[in-house]
Order: sequence, then structure tokens, then C-alpha cells
Amino acid sequence: MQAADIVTLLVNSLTWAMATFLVAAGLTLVFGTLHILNFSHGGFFMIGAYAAYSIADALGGSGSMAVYLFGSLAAGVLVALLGLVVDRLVLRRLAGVEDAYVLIATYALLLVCEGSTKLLWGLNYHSVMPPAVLDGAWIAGNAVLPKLSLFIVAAGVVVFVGLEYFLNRTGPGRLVKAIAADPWMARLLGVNVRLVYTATVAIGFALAGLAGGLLVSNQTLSPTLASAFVIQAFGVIIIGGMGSISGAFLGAILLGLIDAFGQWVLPGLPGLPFFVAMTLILLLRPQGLMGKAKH
Amino acid sequence: MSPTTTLLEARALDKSYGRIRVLRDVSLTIGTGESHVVIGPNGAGKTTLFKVLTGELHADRGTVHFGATDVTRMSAHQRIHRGFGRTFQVAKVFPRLSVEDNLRIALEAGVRRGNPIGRVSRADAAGFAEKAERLLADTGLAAQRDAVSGALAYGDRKRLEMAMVLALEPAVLFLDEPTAGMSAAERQATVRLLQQVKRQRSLSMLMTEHDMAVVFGLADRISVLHYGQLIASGTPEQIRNDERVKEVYLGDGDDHA
Amino acid sequence: MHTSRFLGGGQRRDHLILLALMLAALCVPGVLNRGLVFIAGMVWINAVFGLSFNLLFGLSGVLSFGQAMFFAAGAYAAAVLTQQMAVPFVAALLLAALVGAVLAALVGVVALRRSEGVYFAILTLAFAELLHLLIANTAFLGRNDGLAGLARPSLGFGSWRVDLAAGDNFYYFIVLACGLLIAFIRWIVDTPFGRALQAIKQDPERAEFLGIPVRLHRLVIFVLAGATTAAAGALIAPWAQIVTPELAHWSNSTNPILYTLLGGSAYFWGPVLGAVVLSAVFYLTRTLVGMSDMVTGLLLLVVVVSLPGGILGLLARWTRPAPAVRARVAIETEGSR
Repeated sequence: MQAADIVTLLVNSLTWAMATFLVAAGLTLVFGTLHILNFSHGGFFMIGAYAAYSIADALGGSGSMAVYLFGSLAAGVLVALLGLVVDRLVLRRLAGVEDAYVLIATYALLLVCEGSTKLLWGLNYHSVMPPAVLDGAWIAGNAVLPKLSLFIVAAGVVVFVGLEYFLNRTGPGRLVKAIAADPWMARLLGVNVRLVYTATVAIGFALAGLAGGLLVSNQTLSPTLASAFVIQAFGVIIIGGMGSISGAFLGAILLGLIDAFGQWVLPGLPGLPFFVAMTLILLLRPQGLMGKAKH
Repeated sequence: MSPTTTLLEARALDKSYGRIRVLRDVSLTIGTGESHVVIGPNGAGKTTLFKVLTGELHADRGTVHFGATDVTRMSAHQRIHRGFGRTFQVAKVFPRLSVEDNLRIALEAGVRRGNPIGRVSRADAAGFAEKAERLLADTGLAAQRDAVSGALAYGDRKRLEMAMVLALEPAVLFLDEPTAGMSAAERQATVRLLQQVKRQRSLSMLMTEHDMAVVFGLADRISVLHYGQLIASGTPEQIRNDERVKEVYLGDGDDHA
Repeated sequence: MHTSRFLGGGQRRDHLILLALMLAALCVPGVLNRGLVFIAGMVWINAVFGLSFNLLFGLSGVLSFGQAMFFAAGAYAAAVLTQQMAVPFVAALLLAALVGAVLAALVGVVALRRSEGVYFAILTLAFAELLHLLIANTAFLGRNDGLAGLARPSLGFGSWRVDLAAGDNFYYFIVLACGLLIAFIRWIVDTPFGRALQAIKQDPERAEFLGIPVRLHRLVIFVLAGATTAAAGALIAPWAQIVTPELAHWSNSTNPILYTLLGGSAYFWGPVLGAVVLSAVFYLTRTLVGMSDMVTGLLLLVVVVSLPGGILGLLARWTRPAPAVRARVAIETEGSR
């Protein structure tokens, strides 16, 4: 195996990793804080992608980096607003309800996302061109480094650093962490837990929409995007430890490496190494890499 | 009434959570027909010891023998089959089932012994009615047989749990703080119930307790746990006079019942 | 709180209900047109699908998001066995159920390791998607086009043959087969095993400490549900005469969840009622193209948020005396002692 191949492998795995992390970040944030596993997160990611595509289309195509970024941010805002609606209509009504019913509700919501995407944008696949600035690749010796991939990796790192900073170094962020650890105590101290929950949901959904926008030119746009990313995101947060942002980051990288390696070794069976890895982790270290063991 | 044979023997039990060593080289024995109480301040490791003995946790080192059988690596339900019984600090019953149905589950579980396709023969089923009657009478729940167990008063729920556990005809009963959260009257009633149970079925009992009146009222032998170590083990008289126990226990303040 | 409806008798009543439903179903071809007979057959198959799901959810408290994998496994197994290996249909049906059982055993052993429901739910979803992926990428299973042109079989019993391809014969076979499956599922509920599962649902720790091996029981019911689901899937192969990877898609896993919650998961017949109502809804909205996912999702969402007890739960609440009345009755009897 040549050096160039190794570089390609690394680039592919990191791209997959950061793409998945972008989706998983919001999911694990909401789970860590509200202890709700939002199955529909992937659905809103998909809606974000489609929305960014439409916005870019309306503004003259995604060729301009400015339009591309604007589309992503707009998608983030749009999905955050949808998140507020979902919070009001569904999540609040499920406070205190058995876990199973919450899971079913968000599962149903995923179906609604898929259905509405099909209705609004049809069943056809769309291909979105990346902005001109990100088209093409840098050549380093024998290795090809697609600029879009590097952009995605950079985006993932930025989001990770931003989230970690927010949660650990800012007042509101630390509040979110405190509430995640002990909501009862927080209420006792007069914190408006409901407000923080709503804000966290908004942030989580915004991240989903943003991820959709940033990744829109990374893969073909189709209604199957939701389920593919849902499972990838789950795998990452299970391996990393549910509720941990850094766990999701590390888990994504690990799974990215496994996936890229698997594609090189077993090209005919996409996704198989991923499932094997997820299964092994669940058998050997169920709490994930950064999760707390439950004895 | 002194116990003649050793029924349960725990040897050199060690258990750590991460770097915290919760149990250090703990050994104790329970004889047939003996009621053994483990006391110690909060955080001494009583609950962990309990969980290790009943199979909820596995010790890092050490052994647990039940009769001649090494049960150290056995799961909780396997130990139940061998004759363990366990009640919980907050009584656990099946809340949406009636008192009678709760007993039925216990009786069927006793016959099936863990086999999912285990059959309950007609003879067994016929015997259930009689056994259930006896259990209800012993625990004073006969009048409430049709009551939904989730709606029972707390004291009654404890009795139901006792009845369910006794339905399995255990040889040793593990009771986790049986009088936790009770009023003085309820506590006395529980003590009487336990004394009666012990007498009628010559059971061995291991319990953790905080209330000294209960402890001295029930115990044949007492073991004192302190920071994961067994600092004393003996008859109530011996414990009352043990220097180390006095230092540790009375220095800490009275029972927090 | 009411005593669990599953526990204790009522089996005779349910057998009568089943018989009545089957008799009514047998009259359908005489009354309704071809298209509706097809739907009626689908309702029976979906009813078994839903009942199998409820063996896990309502009876045992186990939530699976991947039951479609067993349905598809059964459908494909039956298709391959009959079409490509000329296995007699009844044998193929039984083998398909076996395939479902084995698949459930493999998945269950892995997925049931964590006791928290959320991990199990995710894993079942993931395994179902894996199967979906594998089916769609396998040549001899027809990839994305699936296997078409499945014939309705003829059954031979010695010198006597029954041609199920003729007229409505396969419909009658479906009613009979589903009837047997439903009776089997009903029987499970009333065994000591079934009662132990209800106990496990209410307090798994208590059950464990009565000597009931909780994980093993959950594995066994998962296997049984996998088998009955696969059997239902096997019936679809000759009925729809085509099997496609869509059968394994996760949206197909939402269907039994919806039937069960809509009808009422606390009642044995809940999933059946749900299947009937939903089939009616889908039939009435069939002209609204591409709406099925939306409708299913929205309906399930509304049911979970506003009507978690389902239709039967609602009916039960209407026919039970109001809590205030019951409290008064209790106080009055108390006072008279």
C-alpha cells in the first residue's frame, strides 16, 4: 500500500467522520441534556440539506461560496425554528412519559420528515455542485486531496471546538451541562429549566440543519439520506458514549477509519464493517468510549 | 438456638469501583437458622456486600459458598434457584397485578426454575391454591387478595413482597434494610413478622439495618462493617462490648433511623 | 390502575372472537370485489404482524424498531424456497418461520445485552437496515427489483390436491393460516411463560430475584415474535406475488407499531383493530399519491401524544365508572364496617 493510498484512506475516513460528527453533534447534545433520543434528527438533517439546496438554487446556484454558506446558515435557522415547533407540539407533551413512547414519537416524526420531503421535493435525486472555490482538489505528490473533503473536515473541527468551548467555557453552556447532570437541583436553584431545554433543542436542531447545508454537495440528495445518517449518527454516539460531544468526535473518527478501511478491503459490502464495529462495542464496552459504566 | 452448620460462607471478598476499594477482604458466615445483621455507617459498603452476596454484582476477589456449592460466579437468578431470597429496601412487587396474581407469579417461578418453557404440572397448580392461602394468612393479606398491589399501603406492600419471596421456600433470606422509612409501630410489626417467619420456617437471614432496636431484637449474630472492612463479628453481647465498635459507631453518632 | 387484562382467563372468549372473525372473513369474497379481497388478505397478514410486535411491546415491554427484518426474511425465504427450490408451500412456510426464528436469535443475543430499551431499539433498527442493505445488494434476491412473478402454490396431501391459485382459494388459506398463528400467539400469552413476561415488564429486577432469568425470557419471546412475523411475511409472497427490499425498510417497521398503538397495546385484539382501521384509512386515501409515509407518521405521532391507550383504551375509559364514583363507593363501604 502506497503512501498516497494511505493519505486517500485517511482523507476519506476523516471526511466521513466529520460529516457524521456534524450530524451526530446535535443529536448527542439533545440526548445528553434532555435524555431524549431524537430519532428524527436525521430527518431534520435531510430537510436542512434540501432547504439549503432550494435556497442556493433560488439565489443563483451554489457556485458562490457566499451563497453556499448562507444557504447552510439559513437551513440551520429554518430547522431550528422547526425544532421549536416540534418542542412545543411533541417534546413538551412527552415530558414524564415512558421512554418507549418518546422513542416511538420521534420515530414517527422521522417518518413525517421523510414523507414531507418526498412531498415537497419529489422522489428524484439531486446533485448539488459545491462552490467553485471548493471544486477540485489539491495534489500533494501522488495523493489527491479533494477541497470539499478538507472543507468538511475543517467544518467538523470548527463545530467541535465551538461546542466544547460553548459547553465548558461559557456561562450558558455550563448551565446546560449542569442541567444535564441534575435538572432537579437546577430547578431548586431557580433556573428556568424549561427555557434551557427549549434552547438546547433549538441548538440541536440548528446543528442538524447546518450540517445538512454544509454537507449538501457531499452526497446525492435523496429522501433516503435520513435513514442512512440516522444510523451512522447512532453508531457514532453509541461508540463514543451517549451524551458526550468529545465521545461523538472520537467515535466518528474511529468509525470513519473502520469504514474507509472496510471499503478498501470489502468494497462489495458497504456498511458491513460499521455494523460489526457497533456490535462489538455493544458487546465489549456498552457504555461507549467516553460513557460512564452502568454496573 | 445456636446455629450448628454453616449455610453461607463468604471468604475474603474484595470489590472496587474504579480506584475506590469498597470491600476489603470481607469474610463472614451464616449458619442454618441464624439471623445475621450487618451494620455500619453509611458508605461502609453494606449495600455492596449485599449485592455481591446476592449476585447483583460479582466480587473482584474472594468466594461465596452456599452449602458445598461455589456460587461466586453465579447470576442472581441462579442463586435464587439454589435457595436465596431477596427483599428490597423499597419493596418491589408487580404493581399492576393483584396480590393473588403476584403470588402466582412467584409460585410459578419457583416451579419453573428459570426454564422459559418450563411446565407447571396440574399437581403443582393444584398445590398453589393451598400454598397461596398459607402465605396470605402468614402475612396477614388474606383480605386483600384481589387488591391491586400498586395501590396497597406501604406496610402491606412489604408483606406482599415477603410473601412472594417466601413462596420460593428459600433457605436464606437477604433483607435490605427491612424497616427503612417506617414508623415505630410499623417497625415493630415488621420485627414480629420476621421473628415469626424465622421461627415457622427455620430460615437463615442476612440483613442490613440501621435501627439498633431492630438489630438487637432480631440478631443472633452481628457483623460490623467500616470502610469496607469487617471490624467485628459476634453475638450482640460481644458487639455491644467491642472496643473498636464503640469507637467507630458511637463516635459517629447514633443510628439514623 | 386495573389488573392487567392479559393475566388470567378470557382465552375462551378470545377463541370465540377469533372464530367469529374467521367466519366473517370467509364471507368476504362473496360480498366484496377482487381488490377488496386482496386488502382483506393483507389485513389478516398485517394483523399477525401487529400481534407479533405486541408480544414484544405490550406483553414483554420490549420495543423493537426492526420487526420488518423478520417480515422480509420470511417473505424472501418463502419466495426463494418455492420459486427457486421447488419446496412445497406449507414446508416453505414453516421453514420461513424457522428462518425468522434463527435471525431473531442471532440479533437478540447481541441486541439484548444492554438492558436499557433505547440501545435495543437502535440496534434493531440498525440490524434491519443491514438486512435491507444486504437484500438490495444480492443478485439472486433480485437486488432492488426483488423477486417477481411468484406463483400461488397448489398444495398436495397425498392424492388430494388443492390449487390455491384458483379463485379466492389463497385468501381462504391466508385466513386459516393467520387464524392458526393468532391462536398460537394467544396461547403464548396465557402460559406461565407469558405471565412471567408480564411480570418482567412491570419490574424486571423483582422478576430476576424470583429466579426468572430476564434476558433469556426476552430472547425467547423475541425469537417467537420473529418466527410469527416471518410466517406472516411468507404469506405475502404468493399473495402480492412479488417481494421487494422495501419490505425490510424501516418504514415497514413502523406499521406494526402503528397498528398496536392505534388499537391499544394493553389489549390482545388492539393490533388487529389497528390493522383493520389503518387499512381502511389507507384504502380511502389511496388516490393521494405519496402520502402514505406522511399519514403513517402523523397518525402514529398523534396517537402517541394524545391517545397512547389507543381506541380500545379510550373505549375502556368510557365504560369504566369515573374515579370519583369509585372513591365514593370505597368510602361508603369503609364507613359501613
